[in-house]
Amino acid sequence: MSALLVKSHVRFAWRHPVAAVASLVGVTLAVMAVVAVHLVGTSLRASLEAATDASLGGYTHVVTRANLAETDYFALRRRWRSGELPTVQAVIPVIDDYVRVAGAPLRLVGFDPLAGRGVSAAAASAGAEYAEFLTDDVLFANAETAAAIAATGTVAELPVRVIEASDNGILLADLPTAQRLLGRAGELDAVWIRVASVRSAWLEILDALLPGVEAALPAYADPAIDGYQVTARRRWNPLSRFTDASIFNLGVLALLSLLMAAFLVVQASYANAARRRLEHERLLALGASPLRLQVLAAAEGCTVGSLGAALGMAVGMAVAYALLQAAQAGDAALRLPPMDAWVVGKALFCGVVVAALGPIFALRTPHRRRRWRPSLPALLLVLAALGWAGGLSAAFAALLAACFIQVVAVVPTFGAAVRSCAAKLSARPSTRANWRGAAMAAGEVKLALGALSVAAAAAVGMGLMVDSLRRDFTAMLEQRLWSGVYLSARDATPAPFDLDWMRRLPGVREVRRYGEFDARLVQGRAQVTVAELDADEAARYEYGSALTQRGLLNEVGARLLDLQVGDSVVVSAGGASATIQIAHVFRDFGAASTRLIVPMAHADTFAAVIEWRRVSVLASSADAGRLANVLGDRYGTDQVRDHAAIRRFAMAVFERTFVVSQSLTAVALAVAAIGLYAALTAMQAGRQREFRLLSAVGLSRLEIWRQAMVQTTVLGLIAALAALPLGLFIAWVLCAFVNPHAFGWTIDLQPSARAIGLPLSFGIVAALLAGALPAYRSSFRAGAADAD
Amino acid sequence: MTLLSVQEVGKRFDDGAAVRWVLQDVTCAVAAGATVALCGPSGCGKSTLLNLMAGILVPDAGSIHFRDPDRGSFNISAAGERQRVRFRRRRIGFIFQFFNLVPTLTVAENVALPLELNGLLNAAGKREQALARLAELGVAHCSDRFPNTLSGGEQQRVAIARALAHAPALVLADEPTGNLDGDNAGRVVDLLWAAVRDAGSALVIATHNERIAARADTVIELA
Repeated sequence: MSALLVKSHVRFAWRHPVAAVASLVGVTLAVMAVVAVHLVGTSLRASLEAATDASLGGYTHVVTRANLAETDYFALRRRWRSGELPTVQAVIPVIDDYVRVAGAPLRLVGFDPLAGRGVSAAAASAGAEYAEFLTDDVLFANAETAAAIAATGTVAELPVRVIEASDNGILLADLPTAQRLLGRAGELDAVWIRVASVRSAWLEILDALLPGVEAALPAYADPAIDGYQVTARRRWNPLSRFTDASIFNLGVLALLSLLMAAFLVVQASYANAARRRLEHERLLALGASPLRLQVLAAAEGCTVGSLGAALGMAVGMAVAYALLQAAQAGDAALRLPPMDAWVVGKALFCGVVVAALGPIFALRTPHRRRRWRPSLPALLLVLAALGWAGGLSAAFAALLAACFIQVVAVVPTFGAAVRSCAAKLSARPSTRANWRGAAMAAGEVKLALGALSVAAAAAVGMGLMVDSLRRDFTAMLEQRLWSGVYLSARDATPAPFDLDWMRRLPGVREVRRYGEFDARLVQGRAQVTVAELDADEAARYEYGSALTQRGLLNEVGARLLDLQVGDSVVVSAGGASATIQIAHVFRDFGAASTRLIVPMAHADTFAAVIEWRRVSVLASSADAGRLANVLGDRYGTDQVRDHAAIRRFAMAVFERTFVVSQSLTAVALAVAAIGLYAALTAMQAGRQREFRLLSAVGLSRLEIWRQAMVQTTVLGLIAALAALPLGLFIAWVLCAFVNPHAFGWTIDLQPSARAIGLPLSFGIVAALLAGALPAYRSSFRAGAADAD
Repeated sequence: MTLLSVQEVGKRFDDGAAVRWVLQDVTCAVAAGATVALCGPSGCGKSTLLNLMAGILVPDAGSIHFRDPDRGSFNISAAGERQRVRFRRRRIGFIFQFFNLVPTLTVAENVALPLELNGLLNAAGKREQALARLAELGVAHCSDRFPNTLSGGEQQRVAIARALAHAPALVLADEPTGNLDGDNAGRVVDLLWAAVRDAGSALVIATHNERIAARADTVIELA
């Protein structure tokens, strides 16, 4: 590599720092977003997995059927050993139920540790005590539970030995021990299997690159085992899928910043290449090879990318730490994960590729350069439309294609329309010249303008979706929250509240109690609420009449378990089971997992596991505050809240939920605005001769600046107007497809002036801010040249 | 001995709307050490022909051969891009009408650039040779300045120094005095002629100036 050419390159970057610095800032912000989302996502998942049976590891699917017994397991194992299930690597019998410890139900998972190598990390880590786990009545528990059990030395009135060898709230036991403690000899609740597939291996890699991606991929058929229901672990545990979907959606928003940064760098590189066109021609004439110049440009991009990636990683770590601190609010479970090779590799790859591709594209030799046509994005759009039912990835592919079309076709079309309208807008030649100038500028900085337009559209789409969801969520709260006071017991003692005393309090209209328990359906897990489902109670869940036997299922559960009105589910818990028909599917914003509301008629069946923790004391709004004080005095304020407080809390949680996604959209807008600033700086620098001419003709510095600012305003208007249709499209895709598929929530899209107006105004203001300094400098230089 | 032969060369440009032939059936030759003037009205293809001779452009018809004393005949028009780059780097010196110097390199670095691209000499040697060339052309005092601080005449003198730095067999000059006043133009042409003669290089100069054309051994009129 020629040292003089390197020196020339470095000096050029030093003399024209705007493009390089803008690229660096853009790449840094984009990598920051990617790294922060990755780290937060990894931490959330680690925390979730530590709290669920996912930490038991290894198994990929859950095999169930009604009234599963050990004989079924033996039959299944015979089929597996005979080669009937070739992709299955391990088959593990499991009993999964609840026992009471210190008055509260606690989940007990009993399994055969010899059936699947590596099934229990906790058991394996117990070392020598592992043998005891297999032979004696031994339970593995976390420190808190171990202490509670050690106080009596018994569980379910049977003597046990407890070993502190688990970091979640689940009790682990050998299968016979668990069956004995539960009084369910010979019974099973599930058979865990481990299935090996090429898809799984690829998913591992994909997931490391883009956490949560599995939630976005088309649903695939679980392995079929005749006579059994087979469910993937992630669907069996919907919280895991919910978390994945959230992380993936945030990851996509982070990628939006990356896309903006890519546009920024490409635009800056084109501006640099245009600035250095003559110099490059001269260097080629002197014998410098085009490849060498491309390598130099790519090296410059790589340097900017590496630096941006390093800075982005550092800032991303800090942002992730701050986000986790804010999210955990005292919960020590959310820890900043280490920067593993995947994160570092991903950050470097994103930064370097984004920063290096622009210069390489910009320095392509003319005969190799193709006119950019929107055929690829259009093709993507068609493919996405065809794969519409295929999952979230199809929706995001459609959005990506729409964004590309916006940049390469829609924004230039709006620019051309402005140009053709210029003559009709005003008879004044100077105004016409201004509008035409803006239209030409729109062509010159189309990538940066397109990026700003896409970022504004994303903000419009997000804003509309959030506003629509807020409206639906508020309506749901109105319906769900009766006027009165709500009590939630911190301990599930047999009778935490005195309902008769409450009923006698002045102003109390009615007192209702709610029982809750975790249950298994054949299709998956569910949280069951037992309530007096009279007409009033049913109305809270949008159902018109009282229910005595049938139940209500939330939308999330209906989608996850593929159930609908009229279907029946077998609910099992605590060794008991009941068949319940679904009368209605209700909207349940905020819920991550299946919720089933069943009438009191089923309370006796599940009496052993129901926790009667929640009570509603219905009263008028005027009495609610006073009653809350009275109840608070007796039961403690931490267990009592009036409906206004719950509403405030729910709305606060709602707003907090979207802070990260809205911040990521703002980052994308900021990166796009920086890109436009860099592009306008380069463009105004290229118009020095024009400004000098205007100055020579007699325009004052202020008039030149004003003219440049009018053009910048028109550019902002073009970006904003072009953003509107894309913003509406994004909002529609988010409401009609992404949210129902990712979270199981159906949102009615409703237009909102604020959600549309704010981002578009910000887009115009961003364009004005981006253009103000370059325009001022240009007019100042024109004046200075004139003075010379 | 013929250094460069141009046989029935044609070049067309496609501006999207129409195809325009800038050069058609051009045949000429340049002898080693000779001076050739390319004359003709604006737009007749003088610069295009120089670019073809340097291998920057490739003809759409005809052929251009360069007779390399070391390696025999080299068909510029049929060579690949890498070969043409290598040929241009070693055998050609180029002087333009404007924007002659790389603005981000000092005067001495500009002159040293062809030496470096050809892998000739070490850093100290390159600077020494560049300074010697600059001294011959009377601009050694500018060696550490950047091009934008030089006058037009000084810039062209530096460009001549750079064009001859690596002792090319052929110097191509595209209206090198077009931006200069009469006195300066005369001085630059004198220096160019002297430098080319001393180096033993051939010179092809595109010019509108009849006085410059008259100094050339051969004048080629393009219509």
